[in-house]
Amino acid sequence: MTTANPSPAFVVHKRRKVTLSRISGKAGWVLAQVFLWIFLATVVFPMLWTFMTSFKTSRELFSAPWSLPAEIQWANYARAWDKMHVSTYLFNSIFVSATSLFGIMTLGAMIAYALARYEFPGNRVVYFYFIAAMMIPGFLSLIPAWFLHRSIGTLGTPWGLIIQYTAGSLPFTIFLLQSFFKTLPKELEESAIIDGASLYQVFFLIMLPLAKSGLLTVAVFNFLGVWNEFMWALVTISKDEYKTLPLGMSNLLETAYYATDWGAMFAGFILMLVPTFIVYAIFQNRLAEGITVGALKG
Amino acid sequence: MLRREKWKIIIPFIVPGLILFTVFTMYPSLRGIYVSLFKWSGMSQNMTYIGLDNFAKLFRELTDPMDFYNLRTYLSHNLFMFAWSLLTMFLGLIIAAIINNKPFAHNVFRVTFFFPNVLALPAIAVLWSMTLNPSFGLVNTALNSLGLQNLALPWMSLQYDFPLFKLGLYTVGFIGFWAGVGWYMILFLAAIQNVPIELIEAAIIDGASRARAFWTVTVPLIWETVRTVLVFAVIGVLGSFALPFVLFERQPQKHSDMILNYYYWQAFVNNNWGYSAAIVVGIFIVTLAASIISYRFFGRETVQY
Repeated sequence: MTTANPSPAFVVHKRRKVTLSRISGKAGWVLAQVFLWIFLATVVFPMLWTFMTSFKTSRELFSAPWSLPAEIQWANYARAWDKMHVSTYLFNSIFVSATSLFGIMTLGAMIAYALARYEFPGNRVVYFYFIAAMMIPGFLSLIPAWFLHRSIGTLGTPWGLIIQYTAGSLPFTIFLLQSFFKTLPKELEESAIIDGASLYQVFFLIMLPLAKSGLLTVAVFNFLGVWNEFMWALVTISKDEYKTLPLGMSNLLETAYYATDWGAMFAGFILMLVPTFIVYAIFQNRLAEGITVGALKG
Repeated sequence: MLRREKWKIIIPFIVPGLILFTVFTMYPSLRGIYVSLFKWSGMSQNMTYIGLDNFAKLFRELTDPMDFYNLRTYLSHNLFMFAWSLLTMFLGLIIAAIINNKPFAHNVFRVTFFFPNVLALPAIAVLWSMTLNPSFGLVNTALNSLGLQNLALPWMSLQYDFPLFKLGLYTVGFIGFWAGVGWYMILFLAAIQNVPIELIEAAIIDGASRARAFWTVTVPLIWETVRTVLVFAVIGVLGSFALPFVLFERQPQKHSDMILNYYYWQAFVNNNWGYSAAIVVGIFIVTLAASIISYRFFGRETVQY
């Protein structure tokens, strides 16, 4: 009977235990929130501070690093754009990224579609041939690729970057798009073929529009990869007129040290970040999705 | 569908990409392995076959206690970064767990924490070397005005002693953490959200605290993700290059260079093509081993209820 009716002491004891753990749980929860806010500050403050500083003179930076600019120095931006070659880096990056992206998405989507939809001897072999390359570190091919581009005359030009970025991004693109094409219904294609559409029309007019969402995710992902690529650009591009933004970024510190034009340096930094900001603001969700799918399936 | 018809789409769709990929990615990668068996330096085309001598040299540099500033030192920097990335992974998991409980402004946290991930590493290096600048940087001026001059350290210094390594390397580790934690957070968040809520509720009804339910129910269920992420961390750490390179003014730095920085100086400054190829083949082998070990022997099976 005692087990069916627990003594009052036992109940009280249990209740107290629950409240205690609830208090410690609450404290932990508050602590967790404080931690989040501190980390948020480490991301937001440096960004806001560099933004604010980009409107100040170099002298103000040293005398009052925390105060708002006494007068907004638009001239910093003009000097960064012109003298620090930010405009050159920006146009090069846009050209290289856009061209590479076009190549990657066209070739990648065609291969992924053929592999996903057509059974033929060697289908698996081709697929794994591409996928295996995802395990190989990119810098393994650095030296031979350098000599290869030297021998075909594309070394040190934007085309050397575009070719290498396109070829190197195919495995990831094919990997994601192949599985995406497999999820699309087959009936549409079949009925289109019965209605007399050619196989090309099926791909370009039916499959590509259907795959828009998957294509966009992969494209955003590839864009950032190409836009931010540093090492291949570093070892091949030496002429300033061909440099992309990551190279420009790494030049920035040196330029500012020698010229001591800190205002323009901060302005250049902000200018170079603008495209990334825009892409992130628009495609933030797709990026998270792409990373999740890419990493967890691979 | 006619057989002939089928090949009319397969060949033009696959062949151009296949050729491009073979010529510019597959061939150079395989040739990278091939070159590691040769003595090949300078701009000359003369390659002398020396078998595994480059790897023997690699091994010697790793083990020779007399040769102080060498591969071993650089590798120890990579290991230090790996410790940082374990911490990053752990905190990424914690952040994901907190954000999954939807605190106030959780979307702001999620979007902001992930943001450093989309920045190019040189941009991150520039941002932090300005923020940590000793004379005008955000951090030290703040510490000085708060009267904490003692804490206003020369964060970028490769002379300032700290346990085991110089302070500058700790800063590299912190920046890596800052840049990487959002990536882990996103992956863990996705994994946690796949855990059926009923299981966690059941544990809580059975008297487990939220924290206990997280460690005993959620974590075993997302073990697959933890394992995958671990392999990515190994790959990422061995691939560290840009951060120390840009932060420390593109010079060889014995106190901060990682193995890939050493590779870079060997290959593109000293023109030791053969030896530098052996270095990256070594990295490749370690990477492969890490993924095989993780999938074969990291024995804990993913729990399925």
